[in-house]
Amino acid sequence: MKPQAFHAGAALVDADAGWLRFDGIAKRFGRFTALAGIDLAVRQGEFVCLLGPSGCGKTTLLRILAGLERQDAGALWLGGRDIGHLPPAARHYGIVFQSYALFPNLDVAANIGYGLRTDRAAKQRRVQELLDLVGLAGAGAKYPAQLSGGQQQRVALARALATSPSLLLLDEPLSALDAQVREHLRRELRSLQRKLGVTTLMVTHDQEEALALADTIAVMSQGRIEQVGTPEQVYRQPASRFVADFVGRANWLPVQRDARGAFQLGGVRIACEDTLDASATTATLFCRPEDVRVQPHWLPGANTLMAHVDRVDFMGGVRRASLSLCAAHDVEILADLGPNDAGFHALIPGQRVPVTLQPERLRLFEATPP
Amino acid sequence: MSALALSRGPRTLRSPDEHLAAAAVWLLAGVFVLFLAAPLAAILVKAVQAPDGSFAGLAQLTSLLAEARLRDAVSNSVLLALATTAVVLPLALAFAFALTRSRLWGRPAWRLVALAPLLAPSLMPAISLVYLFGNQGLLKSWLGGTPIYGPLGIVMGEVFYTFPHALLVLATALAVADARLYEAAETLGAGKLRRFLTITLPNARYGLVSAGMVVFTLVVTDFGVPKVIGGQINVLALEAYKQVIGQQNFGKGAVVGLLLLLPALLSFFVERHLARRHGASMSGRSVAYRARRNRVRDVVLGIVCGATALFLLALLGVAVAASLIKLWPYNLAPTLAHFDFDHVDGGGWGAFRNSLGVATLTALGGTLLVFATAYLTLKTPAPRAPAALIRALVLLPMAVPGLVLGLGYIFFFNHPGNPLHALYGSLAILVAATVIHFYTTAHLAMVTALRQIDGEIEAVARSLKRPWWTACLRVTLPISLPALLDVARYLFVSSMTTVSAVVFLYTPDTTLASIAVLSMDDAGDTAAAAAMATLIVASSLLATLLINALAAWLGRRSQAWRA
Repeated sequence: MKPQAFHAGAALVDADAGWLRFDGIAKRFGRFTALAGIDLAVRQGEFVCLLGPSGCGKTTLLRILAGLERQDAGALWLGGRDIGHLPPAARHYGIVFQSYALFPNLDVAANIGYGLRTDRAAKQRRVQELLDLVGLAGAGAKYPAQLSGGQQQRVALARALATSPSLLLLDEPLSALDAQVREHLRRELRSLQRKLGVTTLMVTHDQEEALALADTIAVMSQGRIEQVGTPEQVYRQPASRFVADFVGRANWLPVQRDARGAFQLGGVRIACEDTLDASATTATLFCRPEDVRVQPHWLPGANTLMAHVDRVDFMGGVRRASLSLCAAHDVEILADLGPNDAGFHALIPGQRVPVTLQPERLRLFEATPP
Repeated sequence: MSALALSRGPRTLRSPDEHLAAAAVWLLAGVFVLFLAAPLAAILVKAVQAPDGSFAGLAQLTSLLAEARLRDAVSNSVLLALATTAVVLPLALAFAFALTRSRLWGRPAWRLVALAPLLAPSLMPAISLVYLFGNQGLLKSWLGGTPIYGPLGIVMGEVFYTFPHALLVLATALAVADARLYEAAETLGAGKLRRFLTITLPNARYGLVSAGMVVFTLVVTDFGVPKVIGGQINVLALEAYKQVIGQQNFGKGAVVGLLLLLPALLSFFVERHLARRHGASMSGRSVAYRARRNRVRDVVLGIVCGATALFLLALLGVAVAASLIKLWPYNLAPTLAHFDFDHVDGGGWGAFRNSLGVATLTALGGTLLVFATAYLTLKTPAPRAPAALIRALVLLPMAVPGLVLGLGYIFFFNHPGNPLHALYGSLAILVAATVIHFYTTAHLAMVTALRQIDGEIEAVARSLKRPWWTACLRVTLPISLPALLDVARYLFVSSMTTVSAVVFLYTPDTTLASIAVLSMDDAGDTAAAAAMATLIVASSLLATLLINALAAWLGRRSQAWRA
């Protein structure tokens, strides 16, 4: 793993970087290690996504922060206070679950007002305010079962925000919704979070959701954090093969070091901004499909190889071409091209096309079988 | 890494209100130890004690087993139970099949008729049989000289008593059919018979074994039917009663009690073993099976159901009719004279009032206990040790016959050294024994209902900083009211009809209606016994109807939020 794996993004190096801090949080369930020492710092007002496949420990981490699960080791700091030993009610957060967990026998207004301990008039005002905020004005007298999934989700959000918590916890809040509603609510959630400035921690397995919503993504795998960074960093500079594979699609190309110490792919020298330990004689080159440029004509230059077009799949906005190198047939390269890209029309199965790998987008990883 | 610096604190984090819940869970565990584990342990102790209190080991068991009387009782019990099971299972299977897999007309009504025996004490069919086939019986000639007092009467009475229990198990087992399996089999070319043999029967196998176990155990431990109509036949349940009540021989009574525990314990473990294997095959979302039109099937099933229903209604109706008629079968003029219990033994209307009181307290207190226990252990961060203890103990009553539980209560609470000795002879001990005797079924129903409610509701409520009882009273309790009513109805009816759980525990002041039926019949006042049994059925029926009406009213009120 790269040394910068645990470095926070540049935007994070603020004075208040450790407003919420996980400090060596560990948790086991019997013989299964759910969390193996998690360190993570969250800035006030930040939107952090815990991203990972199911079973990676992300939900356990959220439940530990919520006080619903007890950590075996480690500390939790919130605003300079150790909250790791407090019951849920003393931690001051709002939470939205995937199932929403709305109280089915209480109407929307009573659901939202459940946590409010003010007099009736003030409660009514606050509930009204929240209904307006989530765009459900007038739905106060309805029961959860009478609302659509998206509306229920908004009620759950309003209920979580009612007591103006300093922390908002979201456990896969959008994954029970269908695609269109999900995208719509995603935007609303983002603007609402910006507007209120509430520090938000969201658990999701949907990388697209994480990339679109988060200020910072923490990618988790097998109870560990693989990388913390901005969506851009996680996508462009994955710290590990796991991150590169989990977030987006990736090409993995075997390269060898030549006599002068440069890496070669299929006999062509590859210019690359990334470096690797000088002792490594072989390596794996990482490259996103959209960073593979297909040229309409052969132009001799750095990082350009001839490839054979095996297959072209129509994917809506782009076409995904499966190519194999002419110099090494067993090396497959995926390339995503939009209709406005120069080489788009050259993509005909059976044809040979020149492809260029952009040096600034390439990353080197130790050569291990994928 | 700091993970090495393990700082193990309490496993769960509790706010002050949740500490209160934890204390309540400890308290409840104490209640179950006191009213369930301790009495059962007392039987074990008594069984290995000589009458003078010294340790006797297995001496009592061996001396009992040496008696021909007891060996007879054991073999009679087993043979009668096997015979009853052999009759009930096919009948109940056909009936359950008709209810769940046919288009037989009026299935809900058939179901009600089949479940009607649940409203009656097991003594009632025996009384009816005496009226029908006894020495002055109307249909005595049908039996062609075979006396009804004996194996024949016992089996007929037990069939009536156990039929609804078997039906409930089998109807549940058949109701979960997955239509997709039948469709898949059909597309693969399997005919009707092959589908029945390869899908229906294997799926019902668990239900069949389980229903067989239920029937067998009920018959072995039932005491009402053989007492009334058994004649000279001795069975284990009667033997326990005779040893304890007749001869005051508690040690031998305890040994017989342990023998009674055997079939129940065996079926308990077989059932749990099967349930574990069965569970895996039933997961996943299934599509409800809908029966297709098939005239032959429906007519055949209609005949079987009709005959069974006639038998059940006859055994229920004859006793009711006899109680309202001057002198069955000679003077058929209607009268209420048999309901004047002043001139017969058994406690009369006082016993009936006691029964109503015990049943009401059992229903209210039992439902409260069942809900509180299930809620606190499932929905609050309960401490692990007492919660695990409770979970293990509450499954026990299912495996303990009422007679055995009652014995344990005498041994434990009647012990002069017990500070709870004052409970002995009170109505409270009858309520406690009844609640515990019927606890498992009620508990499982409540747990099922609570598990259906999203567990994250409590997590959200905790995050919103209101104490757990707010969420409980405002959300969970209202949602689970239908299940609460089911439990209350079950406990009320069961405690009205039970004999075995209370037969060792009543005193002349606290005698109950079901016990009164027994005493009246014993004294030869059969008409009065029939009248008292009729009262029991009437009050069980009334309570059932009232609670059903309440449930329907609640259902209408909650229609708005139940989608």
